[in-house]
Amino acid sequence: MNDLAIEAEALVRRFGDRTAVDALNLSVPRGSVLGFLGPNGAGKTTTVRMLGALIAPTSGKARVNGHDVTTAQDKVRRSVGILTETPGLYERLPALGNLTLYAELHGMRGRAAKDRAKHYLGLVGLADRGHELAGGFSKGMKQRLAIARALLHEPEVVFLDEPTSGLDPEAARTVRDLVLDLKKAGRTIVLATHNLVEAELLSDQVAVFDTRLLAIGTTRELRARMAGQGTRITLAHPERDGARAIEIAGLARSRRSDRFLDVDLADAASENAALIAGLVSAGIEVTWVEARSATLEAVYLDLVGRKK
Amino acid sequence: MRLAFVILKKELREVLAQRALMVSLVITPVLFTLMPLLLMASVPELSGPNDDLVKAQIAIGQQFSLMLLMLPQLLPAVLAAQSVVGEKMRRTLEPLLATPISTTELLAGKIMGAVLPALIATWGAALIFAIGTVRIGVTPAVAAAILRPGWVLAILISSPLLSVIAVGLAVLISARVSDPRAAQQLSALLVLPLVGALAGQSMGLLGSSMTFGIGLDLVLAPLAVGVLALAVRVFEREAILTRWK
Repeated sequence: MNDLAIEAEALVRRFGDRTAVDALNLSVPRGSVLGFLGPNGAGKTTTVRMLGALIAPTSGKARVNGHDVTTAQDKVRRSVGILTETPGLYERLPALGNLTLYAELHGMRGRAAKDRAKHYLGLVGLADRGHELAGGFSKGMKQRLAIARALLHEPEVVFLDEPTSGLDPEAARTVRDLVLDLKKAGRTIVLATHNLVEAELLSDQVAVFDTRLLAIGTTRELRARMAGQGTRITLAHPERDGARAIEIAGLARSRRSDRFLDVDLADAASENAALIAGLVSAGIEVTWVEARSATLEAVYLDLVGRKK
Repeated sequence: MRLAFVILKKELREVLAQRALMVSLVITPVLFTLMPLLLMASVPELSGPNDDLVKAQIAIGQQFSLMLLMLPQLLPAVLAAQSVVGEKMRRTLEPLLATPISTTELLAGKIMGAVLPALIATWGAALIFAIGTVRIGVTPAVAAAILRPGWVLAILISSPLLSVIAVGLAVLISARVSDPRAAQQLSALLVLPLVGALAGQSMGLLGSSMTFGIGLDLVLAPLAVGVLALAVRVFEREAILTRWK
C-alpha cells in the first residue's frame, strides 16, 4: 500500500472565469495531520470537495487512499469522512436517528447501524442525548454530532473543515483531543482552519494556501524559512555584558535588544556550542539559550500578504 | 437500490415530524372530499318537488370526482419542494452527497418519499368519497354513475403517475435554478395543467369513462418515465453544491 494517503498533482478547479484552486501539488503521508491554512475564499473548501470526490477537478490528478477522485468517486467517498463547514444535521430527527441514517448509507444495517451510531455518540460525549432532536442542540453539540457523523464509517482519511469554529473553549478542546485520538489511531486528517494555534498544536505538516499552495512543511520548517536560522541568548547582565557579547558573537550577525542577543547562524546546530562557550569563557553570564524563530502567525501573514 | 429505501425512511420520518406539513397533507384531501359530499347531501333539501334528485347528485359527483386527481400533483409538489430544495437550504445536502449513495438512489428515495404520502392521502380521500357517495346517493344509480371504472382506474393508476411526474418536474426545477426560493415558487406552478384539465372536465371536454382513464394513463406512463430519466440526468450533484448559495 502506498505510504501517501493523499496525492494531488497540478490540481485545478475553475468556476467559469474564476480559478478557485490553481496547480495544487500535495502529498500527505498516512497517519499524519495536515493543517490547511488560508484566508476566506482561498479555495480550501473547494479543495476538500475535490479530494472528497464531491466535485470534479477541472484538470490535474488526485488520489485519495489510492483511489482516483475522478474515476473512482464511489471508492473515495467510502474511504473518506468529511466534516462540512456547517454541521448540516437533520434537525427534526434525534441525534441517534441522524447517525443511524448515515451508518445505513455507509452500508451498515439494522442493529449494527444503531450500535455503531451509539458508539460514536458516546465518543463525542453525547451518549445520553441520543434521543433528543438535533435541532435542540447547542452549536457545540451540533458540531460534535457532525464530527461523529464524519467518523462513524471509520474512514482512513478525514477532512475537517473548521472543526472548532464557534465552539466554546471546552468544546474546542474536546474536538482537539478527538483529532489527536484519531491521529493516534492512524487516521490521516486534513484540518482546514483559520485557527493557527490549533493548526500548530495538531498538525505534522502545515500547508498555507491561497488559490495556490504558498508553502508546505512542518511548522518549525516554515518558521525557520521566514526567520532564517539563529539563536536567541538571554543575558543576565545586559548593561555590563551587552557590547562585549556582540563583539564575541560577531558584529555583523548580532543584534541586541534589552536582555536578548539575537545571533544569525548559518548552521545553528554546529555553531551554537562554540558561540556559547566563547561567551561563557569571556565571563558573560547567560541565563537562556533558545532557537530563534518567527511565530506561525507571522509566517502565515507574510506568505498570504506577499501573494496579494 | 437499498440506499433508496434508507432515504425513503428518512423522508417519511421528516414528514411525520413536521406538524404543518402533516396538517396540509390531511386538510387538503379532507376539503376535496367533504366539499362534493356536502353538496350532494344538500341536494334533497335544496331541490323542489319536481326536481330530478338523481341527475343533480350525479352531476355534482362527476364534476368533483376528478378534482381528487389534483391531489397527487398538489401534495407531492409541496413535499418535493421540502425534500430537495429544503435539503439544500438546510445545508444537509452536502453531507448526504459525501456518502456513497448514487444519484439514482438518492432521487428514487426522495421521489418515493414525496409520492407515497401523497398517494396514501389521495387513495384515502377517494375511499371516503366512494363510501360517502354510496351512503348519500338517493338511489344506487348515483354511485354507479359517479364511481365508474374509468374513475377508479384514474385514481388507482393515473394518481401515482401524476405524482411521479409532479415530483420529477419539481426535481428538474430544483436542479436547474440557482435560487432555492425560485425552485419552490416554480414547483407550485406544477398544478396548473391539472387546473386546466379540471376546467376541461367542467366544460364536458373530459369525462370519467374507461376510455378516458386508459387514454390518460397511456399518455401519463411514458411521460412519467421520461420525466424521471430527465430528472436523474440533469440532477448535477456538483452544480447544486457549488451554485446554490
